[in-house]
Amino acid sequence: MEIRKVLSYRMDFWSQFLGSLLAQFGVAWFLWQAIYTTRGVDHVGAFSFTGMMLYYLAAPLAARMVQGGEMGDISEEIYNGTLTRYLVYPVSFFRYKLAAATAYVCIFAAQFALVMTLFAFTIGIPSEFSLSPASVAGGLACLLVAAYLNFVLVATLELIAFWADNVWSLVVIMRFLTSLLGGAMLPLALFPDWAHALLYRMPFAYLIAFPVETLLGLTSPARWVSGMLVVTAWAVVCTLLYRLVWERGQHQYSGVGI
Amino acid sequence: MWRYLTLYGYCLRFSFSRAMEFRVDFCFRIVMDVFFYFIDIVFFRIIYLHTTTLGGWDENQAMVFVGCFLLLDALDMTVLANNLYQLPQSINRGDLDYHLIRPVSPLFMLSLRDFAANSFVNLLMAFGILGYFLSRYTGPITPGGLILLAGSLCMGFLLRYLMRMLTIIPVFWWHRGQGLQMMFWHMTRFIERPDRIYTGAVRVLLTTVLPFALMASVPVRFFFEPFDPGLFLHVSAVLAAFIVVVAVFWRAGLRAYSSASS
Repeated sequence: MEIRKVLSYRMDFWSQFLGSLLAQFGVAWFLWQAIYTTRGVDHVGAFSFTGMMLYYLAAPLAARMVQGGEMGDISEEIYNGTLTRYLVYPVSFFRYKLAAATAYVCIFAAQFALVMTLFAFTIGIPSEFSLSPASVAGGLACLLVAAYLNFVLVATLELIAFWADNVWSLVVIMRFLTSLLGGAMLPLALFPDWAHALLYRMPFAYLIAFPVETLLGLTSPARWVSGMLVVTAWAVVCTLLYRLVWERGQHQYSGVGI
Repeated sequence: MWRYLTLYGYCLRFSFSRAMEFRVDFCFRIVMDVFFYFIDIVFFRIIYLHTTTLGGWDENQAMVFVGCFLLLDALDMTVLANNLYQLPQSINRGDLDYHLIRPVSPLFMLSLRDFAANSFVNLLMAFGILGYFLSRYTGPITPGGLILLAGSLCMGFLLRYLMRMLTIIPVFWWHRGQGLQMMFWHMTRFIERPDRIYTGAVRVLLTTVLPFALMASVPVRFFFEPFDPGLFLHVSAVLAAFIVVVAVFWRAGLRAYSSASS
């Protein structure tokens, strides 16, 4: 049902996808082309220009897949009082919303696969990446856990709507932080050395950078295992936090809407 | 003119009192924009760890550019964003009727009536950021240069408004123009990088038909570089062309408007 809903306005759906991808990729292309040309170098950090472009293609697609579509959905249900109907459904509200979010993940995963395949067959995979079936499988696993972590983080923030009138700006803050600290705006390898340990302790890096690095074959098996442990730990902590806020928030909920 | 200023004064008063009704949201939005400023500044700081110049600008000059596009964004969020966000819905629901029968320009009311009081705080911050980066700039700063910077930023802001209107007006015919408006937001990324990095056909496109590269970069170029009459004429011509196109397009849209639930 959610997939049908997403695809019901096909023109909007595809124009948004292409517009977002082309703008992000186009800006990155010109920015890095200027930097590589000005410096007269083949590599910035460990990235060749083609490698950098592949990263800038993969990162927004991964972000799109992990972050899903609807923003402010849960807080709106609370704000409008429509949450009441879910309280009488014989299914958990969390699971219902998670299932709806999964529909977006599936669609955006298909777009991700399509674009990456096109890049691989037309331009080729740069030599600094060692893409393999194992790296793709590892990356996919990271993306799925990341999508769950993002869902539970955003859902917890949206539950603050039990106390505050409008919380969409908190979700936008989360997106801003994810785009910078998660590696969508820049590969995390380009951050100063002192920042790396800090970045990989926060959840943001595991939403975009870690899955993309794994997918492109930049992550060793040992690093993948430790990364998955960290992201799983964050997911567990955030789920517990969600439950706590949900329990408290329900006592606050009047059901009349505002 | 006086009547419009008085009217805008009333709009400001209503907007501030409405914003104060949702105090938590008021604070959240301020914090949200602070994060937006923070990530853009950090982004450019990290970029300059890997290069000494970008689009012909050193780090200090680029940070003035960052201040300029943050200021443009803050102006948009404060003065226009709430209004233009609601405009497509007003067209579809027939709410435009109320504005068409009033003895005041509908475009004025529809574009300016809701002043985002929370973003006003951020507008002050954006001014502060620009002022800070200007104070760190070690080159010569002249009153003439500052006037030129302010004037061309106003032109950039007007251009941004006109571009945005061009993505909204098709709603008169299509009834759903979310894709086009999202496209506008995606394209605003081109404002946030120095114009000289764009080359070839894309550069031509971004300085004429989709003049995103002119909005924040040109004011900074006027400020740092010797005055270029050719560039000034180019921006003025593009601005004039967009004013005419939006005026014609808006009138055509109003003719196609069929009131409630159109």
